[in-house]
Amino acid sequence: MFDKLRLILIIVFRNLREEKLFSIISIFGVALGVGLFLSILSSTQSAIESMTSDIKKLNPIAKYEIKSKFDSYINENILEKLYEKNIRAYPVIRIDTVAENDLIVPVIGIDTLKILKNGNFEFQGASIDLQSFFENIDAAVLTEDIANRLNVKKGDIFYLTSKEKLKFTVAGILQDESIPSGVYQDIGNFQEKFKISGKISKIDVDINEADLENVKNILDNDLQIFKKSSLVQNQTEILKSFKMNLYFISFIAFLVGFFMLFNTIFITVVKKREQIGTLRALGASKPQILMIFVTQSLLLGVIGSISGVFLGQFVSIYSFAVMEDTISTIFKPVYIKNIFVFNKYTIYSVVLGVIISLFSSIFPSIEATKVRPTETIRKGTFELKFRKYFFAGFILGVILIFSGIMVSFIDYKSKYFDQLYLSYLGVFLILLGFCAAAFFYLEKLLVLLEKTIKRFFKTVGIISFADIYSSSYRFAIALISVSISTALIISMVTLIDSFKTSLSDWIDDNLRADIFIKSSSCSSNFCFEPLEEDVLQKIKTLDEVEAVSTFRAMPGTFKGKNILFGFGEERVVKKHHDGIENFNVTKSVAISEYLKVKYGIDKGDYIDIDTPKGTEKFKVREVFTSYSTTNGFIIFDNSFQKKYWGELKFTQISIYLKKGANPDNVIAELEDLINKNKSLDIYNNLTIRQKVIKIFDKSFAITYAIQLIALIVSLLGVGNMLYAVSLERRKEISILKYLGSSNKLLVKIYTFSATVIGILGTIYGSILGGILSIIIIRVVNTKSFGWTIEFDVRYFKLFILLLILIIFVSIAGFLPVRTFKKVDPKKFTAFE
Amino acid sequence: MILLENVYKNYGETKVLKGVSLQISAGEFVSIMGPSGSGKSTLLNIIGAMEKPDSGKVMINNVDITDFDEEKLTEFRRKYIGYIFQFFNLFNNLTVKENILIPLLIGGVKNEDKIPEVLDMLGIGEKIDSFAHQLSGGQMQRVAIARALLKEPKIVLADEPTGSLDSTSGENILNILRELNIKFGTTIVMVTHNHEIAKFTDRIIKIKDGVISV
Ligand SMILES: Nc1ncnc2c1ncn2[C@@H]1O[C@H](COP(=O)(O)OP(=O)(O)OP(=O)(O)O)[C@@H](O)[C@H]1O
Ligand SMILES: [Mg+2]
Repeated sequence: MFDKLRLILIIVFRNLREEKLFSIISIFGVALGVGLFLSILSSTQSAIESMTSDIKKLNPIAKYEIKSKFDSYINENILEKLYEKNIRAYPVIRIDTVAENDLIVPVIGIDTLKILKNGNFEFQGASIDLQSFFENIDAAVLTEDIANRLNVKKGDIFYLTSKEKLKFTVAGILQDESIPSGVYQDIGNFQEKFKISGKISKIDVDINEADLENVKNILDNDLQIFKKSSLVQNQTEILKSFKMNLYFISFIAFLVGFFMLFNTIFITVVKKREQIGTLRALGASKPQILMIFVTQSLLLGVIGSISGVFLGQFVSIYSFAVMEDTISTIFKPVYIKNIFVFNKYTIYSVVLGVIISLFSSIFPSIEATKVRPTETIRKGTFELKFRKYFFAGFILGVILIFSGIMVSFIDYKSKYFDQLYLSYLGVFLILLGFCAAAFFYLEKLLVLLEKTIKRFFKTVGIISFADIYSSSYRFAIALISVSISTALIISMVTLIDSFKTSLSDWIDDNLRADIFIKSSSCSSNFCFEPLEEDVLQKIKTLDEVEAVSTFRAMPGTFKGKNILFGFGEERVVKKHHDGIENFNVTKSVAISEYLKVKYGIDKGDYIDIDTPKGTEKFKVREVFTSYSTTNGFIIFDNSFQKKYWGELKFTQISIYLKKGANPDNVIAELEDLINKNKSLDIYNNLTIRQKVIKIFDKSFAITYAIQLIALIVSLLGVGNMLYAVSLERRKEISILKYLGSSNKLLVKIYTFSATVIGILGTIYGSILGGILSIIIIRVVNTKSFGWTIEFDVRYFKLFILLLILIIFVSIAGFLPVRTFKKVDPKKFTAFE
Repeated sequence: MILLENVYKNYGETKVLKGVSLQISAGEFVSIMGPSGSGKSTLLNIIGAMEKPDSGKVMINNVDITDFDEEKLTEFRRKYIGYIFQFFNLFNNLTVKENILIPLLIGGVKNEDKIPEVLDMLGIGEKIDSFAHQLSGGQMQRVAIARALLKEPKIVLADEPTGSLDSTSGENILNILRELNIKFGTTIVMVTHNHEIAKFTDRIIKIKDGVISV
């Protein structure tokens, strides 16, 4: 036992030392995969944590919460009724404000005494000036992360804006990490400060399931009691598709690591064929050979995975910022704490990294066991043995590709909405299929091109053809890595371009107004906090204003799921967007595509909507694409807000100007007229567009990194293979050198081989990339986001990118130059 | 000791061995000679349990290995065979000591402390910690011999062990093999092209076109 271990270790360590460069590269590859995966995993998880923390963590002993059905404030009278029944209830009020550095900061009012009494909150040890906290209306305690971002400490003064600029003093900092990020005030001070006495946002209630009916009976019609766990569930679900797509990206990152490791092990096997044969001749068994290479891979995998944990911490700085930004914009403000953490995800990703390392060593290690003892004496029989499987591989590949496409298509057609696993399985099968078919593809294409290559490229052509043909197995593997990179580049670029074009079209269709106004305390696409009523009147007094249309966003439910309701002024919109005068408003709604995809609802159908006045039937007038939410979205005419919700509030304003009016002048006037306290964001059309595009670019930034990685993988993949081939061909090289060929000619030959593989691989990868693009855009995208995006393939751009890829791959021809230089023409020929 | 009966071996269309029968007794030092491509290496590989014949019978050490599967063949050669290759087949990235250690570790033979002694005996004691690629051809072959000897095999097979050496080094190697043969009674089968060298051995087996031509 000990002997065997020693044997393995001696050989493994010597091999690693000899292959320093490739070992480092593959460690880096694995580290990159693990690091990306870890940072993506922990940033989404932290984002979810933060999103749900105000539900879960504020009064953790309360299992239920009472809220308005329509996300408005609720009257605190209800508290009395609850206390009468001896129900422990904790009121909470929350307003999002803007700090001077533009950070969105939630201010949360809590019933401090009660919370302290029940020990829900750890105020001890936080050195809080309790006296001032209760008595001073400016006093607030801050969670540490918010204090850091505002750059304040105990005793400092800071300002937050919500409708008006408000002054606060820091009465203490809360160190407890589990407390939701924010600025805390005692509820009384809060109501006075924000001038909303008698109102609260929600009530956490500490009751058992048995008391539920009791509570329901005393609730007013507009109130609803929710189980916190189901609210959390709901929030988590919102992020689900978002998460899935990020996981897909980190899966690709792993694939990269996999390939690098695979190549390194493979090259060691190729390089050490003679050694393996000798070992076999000396009596080493197949399992022993297998163990040597598996151990080597495992060692690299473990080192890589552990380095990945550290790399991941650095990547996290970036990914957390992007994640916070994106989620804050699309869903709701989140604050991610603890960038540098070691937690269970660290362990997951290390384990995954190690498993993948093992997996990547399987094929090369099995190849190693196939080396026969007599190969010490005779080489090159492996190719011959393998070649007879090429056609079978091709047939298998075609079957796999076909089933992959079928599986994805079934996913596309089926109604099992949330399960994208089928599509991912499909993608995997297609990838496998392309790998299996590559050998035959390369061989047949080579035979087809043989005459041309030999005629046009003479010596270089003849030698490199012989090289590729006799090692078509190895070259096919290099070709696969080029193809996968090509496919990655094509599908990423096509996805981004298609998405961007669709988004631009959507912006053109939807952002027609000249000026947009929203609350500055809301960073998300949709804000639920209504604006002041008199703003509207003031805007209408301006001469340049042709029309004003308001929009209200409100959380709603549909078929028991949280979705978004919108109330717009259809007549104004129809007139200014579609040029329809006097649009006839009927009892109908527009629904987002998501609902169509998810529930199969279409134009002309009738749907039931829950309103404060009871359930109402609406006809579906149109289905629209919305890139601003990944959930359902139903838009009503404003008249129905009045009729069924009994309100006429708005959260956004769009202004259409008279012909010739300069929007920037109007904005300047508006700033003066309605925005003295800076509580509003007033943007012109162009700024809004730029903002949308900026968010888009940020969210897709990570895909550019993947494209770059794809380029590097191709280079290394082909470089590795050429290096291996040059090692195998040392004898031929020495003969060539003996016959007078220079190192330069050898580089030419290898560069030519690399280019051939580059071009054939790119062509092959383009087919794969095309199929993947269709699946990603048509299936994955539609199903996970409920968006349709139109194909926009920029052929010229892709052509240029692939050309860069091919050039990159050709550079690989220089990598074996070390071998050329080392080969001594006398030495090998002397053996003959 | 070594007994082949009517052994046939083909590689695809190429018929290499066409009914070879031979017998080598324990403690014999024989050489095999024949033109290039006549099947000498193939024959040696079959004796060394590295390849299986297509038909015929192979008995080594009174064990019939004809029908052994790969695993059993591996075990057999680990236990009984020492192989010396024409091109030495040392592990260039290992030290001399590690190179010799490898078969011991594979076979679980506890002879590690004898390494310096054997290397001294072969005259390369001071090279023990050098890497294999730093040695001359003659030194490499001596390391290869040390590697074959230390596990104390019953049979040593050598495929042109002097082929890539100058005549003095070749003679040296030959003396070492002879000494081994006398001292430990090891059976040695050696392929060679060189008549001078073949004359050194107890018996010459000639092979031509896949048959023994005495
Ligand atoms: N693995 C193999 N695959 C195909 N043909 C083989 C294989 N091994 C040997 N041969 C063929 O078998 C014949 C005998 O080969 P072998 O190596 O036994 O000859 P040899 O007598 O050792 O020659 P040399 O003196 O040149 O070493 C040759 O024609 C060779 O081409
Ligand atoms: Mg031979």
